[in-house]
Amino acid sequence: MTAGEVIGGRCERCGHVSFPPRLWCPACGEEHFRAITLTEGVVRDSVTTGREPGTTLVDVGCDLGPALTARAVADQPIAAGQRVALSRGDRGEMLASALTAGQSRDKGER
Amino acid sequence: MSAAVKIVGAGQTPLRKTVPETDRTPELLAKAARAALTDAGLQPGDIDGLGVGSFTLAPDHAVDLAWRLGLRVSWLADDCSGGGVAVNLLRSATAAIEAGHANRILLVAGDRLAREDFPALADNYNRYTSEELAPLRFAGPNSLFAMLTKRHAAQYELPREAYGAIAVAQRRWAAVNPDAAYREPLTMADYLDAPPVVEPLRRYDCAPIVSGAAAVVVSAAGAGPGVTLESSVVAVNHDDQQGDGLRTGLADARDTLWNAAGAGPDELDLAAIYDDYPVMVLIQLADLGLVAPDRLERFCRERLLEQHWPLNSSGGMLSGGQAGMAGGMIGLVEVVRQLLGRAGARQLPHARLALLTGYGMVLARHGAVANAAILRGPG
Repeated sequence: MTAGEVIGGRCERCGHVSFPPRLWCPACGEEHFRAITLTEGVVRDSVTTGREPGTTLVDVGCDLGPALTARAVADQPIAAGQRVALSRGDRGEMLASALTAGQSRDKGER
Repeated sequence: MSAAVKIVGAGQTPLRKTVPETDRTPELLAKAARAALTDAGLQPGDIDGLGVGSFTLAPDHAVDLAWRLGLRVSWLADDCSGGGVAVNLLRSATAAIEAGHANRILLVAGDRLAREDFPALADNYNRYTSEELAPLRFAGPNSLFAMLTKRHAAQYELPREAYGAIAVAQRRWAAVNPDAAYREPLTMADYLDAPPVVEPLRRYDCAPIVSGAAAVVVSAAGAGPGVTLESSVVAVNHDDQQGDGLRTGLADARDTLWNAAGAGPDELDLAAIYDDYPVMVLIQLADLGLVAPDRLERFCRERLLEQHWPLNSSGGMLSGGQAGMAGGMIGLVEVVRQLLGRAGARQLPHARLALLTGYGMVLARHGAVANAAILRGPG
């Protein structure tokens, strides 16, 4: 496990991927999981908060299944449909950075 | 249906942005409780059950409140379902009375919340929020519901006026409710031109933080007038926080709710729909079959703005203010007041059948609790 990664849990029995990792699998009830890195996904929506101007939050559908909310790197608005790479920042916050075509790090573990 | 059990009284404190220093959370809960008892013509010694919902009562719980109120009870419940507190406690209390575990149960919810307290509450709402959302500097639930509103507006091609109609119509009701915090007139232009919070949400899309408490008394049937619980449904964690948030668990429970009540949406005289944001009112209206999703804009314009249909006839939280978990209880108080003919200047001429909903406890992306009840008055 790498500190800068977003780690989900893959159910040992049915393969369902959860984020965050759960106590019991929401799909089959099993309680044994294998850590799995959520590397990439697609932005579904984004908003820019007013409390700290420029903070952009994105709703991401991860390639491995889970949906989560992350912060856009550099706080640049990201359009829906944009592919993003997921990581964690200095405070442990989940970050999403836009990927251009051909940049994908996804090794295709589906 | 529970003909043997009735809600016999309701009361609340005025919802206010600032309350006296001496009105901490226990005092607010006590004032609301007293108001409900007085409304029911009862004394503390008549109560033998207590259900409590509060974020800021900690480190106390229901048992501590029972002690401070001097109540000796045979039934006790702490409820942590946020906006779902009223229906959750009401159906449990009803079942408890039917089972003979208690005869008269006091249900009370509320919080003292200063505006500056809210970020800490929002950042520590639950483990997922403190671990995964607070580090984003996510600015509280407004951000999540801004995304949800954006998605909803795109999905149903709704203009901002559709959401504004909820805020504007409710403000008209608040104007004749002395318990509401915000009663000055609000026009559609005011709504549209208000300062942004998290776009597309602007000031009047967000329930303002206030302090207050609300309570009802549920009783084994006696001679006096009362409100009966015809049916209720609760849906918790319906989508594992993985859906788009544009439907709640009420959509799956809709038929159960109406069938058990032996009634349909057209028979409603009023509705108290949980209104943390206008988008959630529209979603629940569609989920429960009151309005088809493709007719939401027309419903808002015609039924709410033109015909003044009583949706959140207290002004709801959008105008009344959100006093923490009291926000989940004020809808029940309003329904009881209307059904018992005790709603003062805003009393509806014909209030017989009402819908109450609750929604809340944002876990990761949207609310994880949704519930609803059909209530019938004696009229």
